[in-house]
Amino acid sequence: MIAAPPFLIFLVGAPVVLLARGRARRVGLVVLAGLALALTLLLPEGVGWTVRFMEYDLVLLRADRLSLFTGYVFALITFLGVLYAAAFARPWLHLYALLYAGTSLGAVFAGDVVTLLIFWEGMAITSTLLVFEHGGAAVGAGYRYLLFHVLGGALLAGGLALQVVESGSLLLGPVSGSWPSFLTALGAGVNVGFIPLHTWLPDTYPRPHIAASVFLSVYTTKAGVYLLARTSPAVEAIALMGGAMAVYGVVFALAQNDMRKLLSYHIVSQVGYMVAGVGLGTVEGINGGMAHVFNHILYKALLFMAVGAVIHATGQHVMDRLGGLGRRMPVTAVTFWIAALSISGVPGFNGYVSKGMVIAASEDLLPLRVLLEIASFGTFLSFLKLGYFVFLREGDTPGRDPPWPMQSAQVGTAALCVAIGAYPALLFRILPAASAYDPWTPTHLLEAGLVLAGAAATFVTVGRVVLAPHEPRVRDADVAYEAAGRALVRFTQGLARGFAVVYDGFVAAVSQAGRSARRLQTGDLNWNVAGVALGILLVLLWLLWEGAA
Amino acid sequence: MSLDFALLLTVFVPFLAAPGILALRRRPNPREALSVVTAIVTFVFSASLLPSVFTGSSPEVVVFRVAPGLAVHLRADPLGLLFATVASFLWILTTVYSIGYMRDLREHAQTRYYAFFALVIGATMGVALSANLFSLLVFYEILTVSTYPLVVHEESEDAFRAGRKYLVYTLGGGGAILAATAIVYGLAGDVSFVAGGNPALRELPTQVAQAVAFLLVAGFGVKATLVPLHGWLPSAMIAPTPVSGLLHAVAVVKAGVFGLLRTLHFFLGPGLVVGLGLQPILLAVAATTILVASLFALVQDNLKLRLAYSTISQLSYIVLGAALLSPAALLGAAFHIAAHGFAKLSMFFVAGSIFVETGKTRVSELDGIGRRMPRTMLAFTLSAMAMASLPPFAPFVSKWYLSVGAGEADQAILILVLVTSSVLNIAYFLPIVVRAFFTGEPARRAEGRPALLGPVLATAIGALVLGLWTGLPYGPYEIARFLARGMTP
Amino acid sequence: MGDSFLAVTFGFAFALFALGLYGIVARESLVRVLFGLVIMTKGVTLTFLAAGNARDQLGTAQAIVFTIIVIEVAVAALALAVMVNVHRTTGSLSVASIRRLQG
Repeated sequence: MIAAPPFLIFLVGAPVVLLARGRARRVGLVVLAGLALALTLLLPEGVGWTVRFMEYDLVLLRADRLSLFTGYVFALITFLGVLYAAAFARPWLHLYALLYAGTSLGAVFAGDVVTLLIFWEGMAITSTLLVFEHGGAAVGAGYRYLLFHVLGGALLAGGLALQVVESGSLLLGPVSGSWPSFLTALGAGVNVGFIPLHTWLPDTYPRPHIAASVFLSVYTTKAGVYLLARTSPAVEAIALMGGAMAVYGVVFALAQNDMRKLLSYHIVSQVGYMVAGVGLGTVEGINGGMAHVFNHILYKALLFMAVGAVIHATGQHVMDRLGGLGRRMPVTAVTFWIAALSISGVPGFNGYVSKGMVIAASEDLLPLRVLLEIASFGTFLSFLKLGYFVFLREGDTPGRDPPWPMQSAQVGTAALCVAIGAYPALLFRILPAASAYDPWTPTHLLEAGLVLAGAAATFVTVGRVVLAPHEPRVRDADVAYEAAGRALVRFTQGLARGFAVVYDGFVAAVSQAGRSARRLQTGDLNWNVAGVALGILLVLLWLLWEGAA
Repeated sequence: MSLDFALLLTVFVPFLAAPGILALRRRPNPREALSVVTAIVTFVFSASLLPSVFTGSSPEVVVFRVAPGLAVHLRADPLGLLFATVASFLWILTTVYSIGYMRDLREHAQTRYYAFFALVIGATMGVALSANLFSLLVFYEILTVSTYPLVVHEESEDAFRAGRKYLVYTLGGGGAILAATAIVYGLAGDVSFVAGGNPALRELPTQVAQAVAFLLVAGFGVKATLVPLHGWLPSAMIAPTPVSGLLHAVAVVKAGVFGLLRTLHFFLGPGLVVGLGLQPILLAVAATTILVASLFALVQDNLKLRLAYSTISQLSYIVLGAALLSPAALLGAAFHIAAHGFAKLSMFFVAGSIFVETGKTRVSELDGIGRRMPRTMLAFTLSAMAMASLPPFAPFVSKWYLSVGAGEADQAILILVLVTSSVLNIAYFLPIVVRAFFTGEPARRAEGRPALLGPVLATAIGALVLGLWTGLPYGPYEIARFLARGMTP
Repeated sequence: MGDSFLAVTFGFAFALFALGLYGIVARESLVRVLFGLVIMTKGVTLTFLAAGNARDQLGTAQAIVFTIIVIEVAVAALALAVMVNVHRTTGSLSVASIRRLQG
C-alpha cells in the first residue's frame, strides 16, 4: 500500500480540483476528501519520506498510534466538512479549507520539529485566509487571529529550537528543560486557548462563512492538544489550566446570544477537558484527552453544521430572534440534539465515554475534578438553552432543512456520534494506548446522571427565564488586549517624542556652543596677538613644569 | 583568468564604469545598458570566486600599500563573498528597476544617479572583500561620500537637510573607526582580519582594548542603525526609492552590520569580546533596537518610514546573531543578510511602484490598492510574511538558527525578543495588506511597467526560493553554513 | 662679564620685550604695533647675546642674532606693505579697521 503523507493529497489535489467548474468541481472536492480519508485509514505504522532541508533530514511522515489516531479523525471530519461545504459555490473557501486540512494533517504526521513548525505556520496562514475569505466583519477579526497565531508559532519555534539544542535531536517528542517546556507549552497554549490567550477563538469563529466555521472548529485547537500530548509536559499547572478553561468557557457561553459564539466558547470549555487529560500525563489521562479529541471533533463540527443550517435558512445569528424551528427543520433539529446530548455527556452518546475517561483520570487531583464536573453541569444547561430557544419554544421564524449535501454531512456525523456512544469499543481499538475504562459502570452512570439531572432541573425551573437570550453584558479579556494595544501606541509616541527631545536638545546644545565659541573670534589684531602670547607662555610654563618633575 | 584578478575586477569594474556612464550622458539607452551590463559582470566575477573559497583557498590581492601593515588589501572569504554576491545580484535588479522608476517619473540628473550608484556598488564590494580594517575603512568612507549625491538627489531644502544629517552621522561613525584603527595600528602594528580574532589585539592593555571595541561598535553601529545612532535612516528616506531600497536596505546598512560581524568575529574575536565584557552590552543594544524600532514602525503612516524602521529592527537580528558568538547564531546572522535583503528590497520596490503609479506615499491612502496592482501587492504580502519569519520564506531559516544559537549561548530569554518582533512585524505589515485587498472600491488594473513589476516579483520570489531551496549550490545558505562550521564554538 | 652686569642686561632685555609686547597688544595704531614688534625683537636678540657671552658661545649667539635680524627685516617690510595697502583701502591706520576676520 502506498504510504504517502496525506497532506500531499490536499496540497496537490486541491488546486487541481479547483480548476474544474460547477458540479464537477463539487463532486471532485468530495472525491478528493474521500480519497484522503481512505489513504489515511490505510496508512501503516512507520516512519518515512525524509527530505533534506537546511542541514537536517526532515521526516515528513511519522505514523504511530498517536498520530494515526489524530489523523483518522482529521481526515474523517474533512470528508464530512467538505460534503457540507460542497453545497456552496465558493471556490476560494474550498481551496483554503482543503489547504487548512492538508497542513493540519502535515503537522500531525510530522516526525521532526522543523516539519511541524512549517505545517503549524501553514495552518495559521491557511486558516487566516479562510477567515478573510468572507470579508466584512471577519477581516478585522482575521487580523487579530493572525497576530495571536504568529505569537503562538513564534513561541513554539523558540521552544522547539531550544529543545533541539538541549537534546541534540530534531525528532518531535517529549520536551525537557525549563525554557523549552515553557515556550512549547505556551506556543501550543495559544492554539489550544489557554486563558487568557483564548480571545481570538470567540472573536473569530462566529464571523466567517458558516461552512468555514465548521472547518475552523476542528484543526487548530486539536492540533494543539495533539502537540501537548506529543511533547508531554505532564505539568500539573497545565491540567489545572484545562479545568479553568472548562469552567471559563461554559460561564461565557451561557451569557451569549450569538449561536456560533456560544459554540466557540464551548470549544474553549471542551478543549479544557482535553488539556486536563493530557496535562495529567498519565496513560488514562492522555487516552481520555485524545478520546475526547475524537468525539469532540465529531459533535462540535456537527453543532456548527446544524447551527449553520439554521443561519442559512433564517439569516439570523442570534437566539433572541429565533424559535419554533424544531418542526420546520426536523433533520437539523434531530442532528442538533444528538450533538447536544453528546457534548453534554449523556450516556449512549460519544461524549459521555470520553468525558468520563477524563474525569476518571482526574480523580487524584480533586480541584480539577470539581472544575470538570461544574463545567459538565454548565454544558448541559447551556445546550438546553440553545436547543430550547431555537428549536423547541413557540416561534414563527420561517425555515426549512438545508440542501442535501449539508443534510447528509449532518446525518453522517450524527450517526458516528451515536455509534461510538453505543459501542465505545470502536473507539477504544484505535486509541493510542490500551484502555481499561468501562463507561457502563454504575458509578459512572450515576455521576453523569446526577449532573445532567441537576442541569435539566435548573433549566426547567429557573433557566428559561434567567437564561433568556439577550445581548451579553459581559466582556471577555479582549478589553484588556485593546487597552494594552492603545497603551502601546501611546507609549511609542511618547518614546518618539523623548528621542526627539534628546536629539534636538543635543543638536541645539552643540549649535549654542558653537555660537558662543564664535565670540572668541573678534578679528582684533591685538586680541589675537595677546592670545598667542598667552598660549606660548602657558606652553613654556608647562614644559618647565615637566622638565622639573 | 586568475581568481586574484577576478577579485580585483569585482571591486574595480563598477569604479571604472562610472566615468563611462558620465561619458554617455547624452545617450540614455547606452548609458542604462552600461549600468546593467556592469552589474551583471560584477556579479559574475564575485560569484566566480565562490568555488575556490569552499575549498579553503582565498584569492587575494594587495592593491595599494601605504605602510607595512596598512594596505588596501582584498581577500575573498565566505562572509565577504556572501555579502558581495548578494549585493551585486540585487544591484542588477535595482538597476533594471531604476530604469523604470527614473523614466516614469522623468527624473532629473539621471546620469549623476547612475554614475554614483556604480561608485556605491564598487565601494560596497570593497567593504565586503577587504582583508583588513584599514582597507575596509577606506571603502567605507568612499561609500559614505558616494551615497551623498544619491540621498540629496531631489535637491530640495528637505533633501539637503537630510543629507547633512546623513553626513554628520556617517562621517562621525567613520571617524570613530579611524580612531580605533589608528590606535590598534599604533600599538599593535596589525589591523588584519583573522578568523576567530586577530591575535595581535590580545597584547593590548584592557582599557585600550575596551576603548577600541567601543569605538568600533559605535562607528559601525551608525551605519548598522543601532539605537540610538539610527536617526539618519528615516531622514534618508527622502531619496528616490531605488536608493532607499538598495542602499538603505541592502548596501549601506548591511555594510554597517558587516563591519560589526568583522569586528566581533574577525578582529576582536569571540574570546576578547567576552573577556572585555562586551557581549551583554551588545545583546542589550541589539534587543532594544529590535523592539524599539518595531514599535516606531507601528506608528508610522508614511510607507517608506514604516519600512525604514522595520529595516532598523531587522538589522539588529544580524547584530544579535553576531553578538551571541555561537556557530548557529553566526549562520543565522550571515544568512539574514541575504534573507532580509531580498524581502525588504521587494517591499521598497513596491513602495516605489505605488508612488510611480498613483503618487501615494501614506499607508492611510492605500485603500483598495490591491485591486489596482494585485501582483505588486501580492509580492508585498509575501514579503510581509517573510518579515514575520513565516515559512517557507528565507527569514524563517535565519530565525531558526538565531533561536538555536540563543540556546547554544545560554541566552534563551532572547527568544522572547524574537517572538515579540515576529508579532510586531505582522502587526504593522498586515494592516497594509488588509487595506490593499479588503477595503476601497474595485479599480481598473494598472500595475507598474515590466521594468518595475519584474524586480518587485523577482525579489519576493527570491526570498521564497532562498527559504525553500537551502541546498542551492554556493547559495547564501551554503556559504553561511561553511562560515559557521569554520567557527570554533 | 660679571654676574651683576649679566643680570642688568637680562633685566633690560626683558624690559624691552615687555615694552614691545605692550606695544603690540595695547596700541591702536598699526605703526605703533610694528614698533612694538621691532622693539620686542631687539630684546630677544639682546638676550641671546648676553646668554652667549655668559656661556662663552658668542659664535653661536652671533649666528642666531644674524638670522633673527634678517627675519625681522623681512617681516617689517611685509608689515609695512600691508599697512600701506590697509591705508589705501580703508583710509586709516587703526587696528579697528581690519576686523573682517571676525567670526
